[in-house]
Amino acid sequence: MIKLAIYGKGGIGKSTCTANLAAAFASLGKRVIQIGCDPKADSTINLLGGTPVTPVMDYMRDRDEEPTSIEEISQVGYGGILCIETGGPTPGLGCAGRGIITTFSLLEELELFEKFKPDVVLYDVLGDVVCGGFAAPIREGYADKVLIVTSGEKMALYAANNINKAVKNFEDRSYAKVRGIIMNRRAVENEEEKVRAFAESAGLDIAADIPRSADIIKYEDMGKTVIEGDPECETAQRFMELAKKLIAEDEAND
Amino acid sequence: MTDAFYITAAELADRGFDNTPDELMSHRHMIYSSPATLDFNSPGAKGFGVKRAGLAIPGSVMLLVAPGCCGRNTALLNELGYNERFFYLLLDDTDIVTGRHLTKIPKACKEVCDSLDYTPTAVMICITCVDALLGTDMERVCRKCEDETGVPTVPAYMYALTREKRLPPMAGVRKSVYSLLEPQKRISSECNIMGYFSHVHDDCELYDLLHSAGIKKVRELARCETIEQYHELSRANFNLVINPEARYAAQDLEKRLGIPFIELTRMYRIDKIHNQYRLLGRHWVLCSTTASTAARRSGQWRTSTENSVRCVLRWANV
Repeated sequence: MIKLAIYGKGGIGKSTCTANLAAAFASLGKRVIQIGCDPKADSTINLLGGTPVTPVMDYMRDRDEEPTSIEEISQVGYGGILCIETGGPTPGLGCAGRGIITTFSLLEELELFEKFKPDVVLYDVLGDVVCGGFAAPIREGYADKVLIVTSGEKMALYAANNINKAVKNFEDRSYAKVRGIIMNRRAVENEEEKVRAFAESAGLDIAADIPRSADIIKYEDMGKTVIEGDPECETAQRFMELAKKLIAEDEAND
Repeated sequence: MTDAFYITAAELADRGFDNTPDELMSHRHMIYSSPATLDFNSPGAKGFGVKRAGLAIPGSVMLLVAPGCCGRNTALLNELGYNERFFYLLLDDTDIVTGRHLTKIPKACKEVCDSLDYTPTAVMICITCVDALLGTDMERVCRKCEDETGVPTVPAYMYALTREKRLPPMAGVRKSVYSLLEPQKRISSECNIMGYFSHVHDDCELYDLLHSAGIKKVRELARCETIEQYHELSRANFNLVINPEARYAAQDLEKRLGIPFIELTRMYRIDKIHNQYRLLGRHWVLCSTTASTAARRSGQWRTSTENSVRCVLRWANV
């Protein structure tokens, strides 16, 4: 099973990359789960035609009880992808990190993996590894590998460096390891050089190079990924290549 | 509401759900008695809470990692002979904000082990609600403790805020105390009773029924006096769960060690209890001789219990 966590600076395109990667895996015939770990709960919206799934924390807050089945807190989106959002507290209140932990415990109790039997699980995680809750997706049993999304912008690279250091700090025999970088281009001057320089200094591979493209915005406005909207376009093809590469690596490891 | 209020079960049933008295509608009062108060297990009451239960492994010690206020009532357990087995790592605000307590735990573990004139069989790291919000991976911390001391280290979670959740602390601690069991050859004529931290009464009919069904050895955690006896628990052919709080631990043993479990429900009507024993007997893969012996003994126990109940009722003049 491929289990990936996607981290990166806020607003850098983590959810876009995650959803497109999920769609690419699904279009290659894989059973995919995408779990958004962000209080904004918008990770999977473009797999669901623009209609968001009820986040787990919203379900528990509104009903004051835990769900008893996966169906109550998930929706099936493009390509049969099972979409789940942890959600979180009202901004300024509560603890979003605890929300992730609670959701993960619940999914374990509901035997998500045993019942759905996924080939691929993707965790789309808010921003940096800021507390124990946001490190939960890289614990034993969850993600095996981390992909860091960054552009050539200074603050995005700064965040990527922090994430890489944080994951390395946890790097013992059971935690996830950083697989590489998704370069999500933002039309920054000398962008490729800057990202490559960072990748080299951190000893990381650039796993994918996603061009800046109006297609992404066009299809997101329609509640779709580019994989769904125009699978032949260059952006979609880059995600397909990344998915194929990760599948090949997983098969080689098996 | 200032006056004491009571209602009998029959009266309540007659009124129906829609006419439940206001006195029983807990959300309509500022002060009410929640289900948690019924479950509350004060160390002063000498019951088994997470801390005392966490020491069920023979020869183990516990490091309680908590703000001072959370640990203070543990002192009451000293009266029960635990004073040599509890150790404390007190947290302050800076520890919690920076997470520095996590680096202190392995050092504290080492200090505890070095201070003893014997090597404990295990160290239980008991951590409280404050850490639930931090999301610490205690399994990882425990591995670091093991690296530091060479002593098996297990987490126990005293998360009161999960008391009414699907996996409450007392179910979690049961998994913790059985977690050091390792796979070994299982013996078909041996079983465990799982459920409580004190053993079943010596004269309980369960022993007699199990023996008459061909079970030669019935083990319980609470009867283990040495770590060797503890490890023999994983020889069991099956586990008999008599308290639902042990179900999670039994499921873990089934998953890890391949020991299946059968759960008995607590019942109070004699015919229901008898029927449950009959159903249990039907599932035993035993030779017909022992199975029929068990069935006969079950019937004898039923008759004997019915006679006892009649005596009590006569005595109570009911």
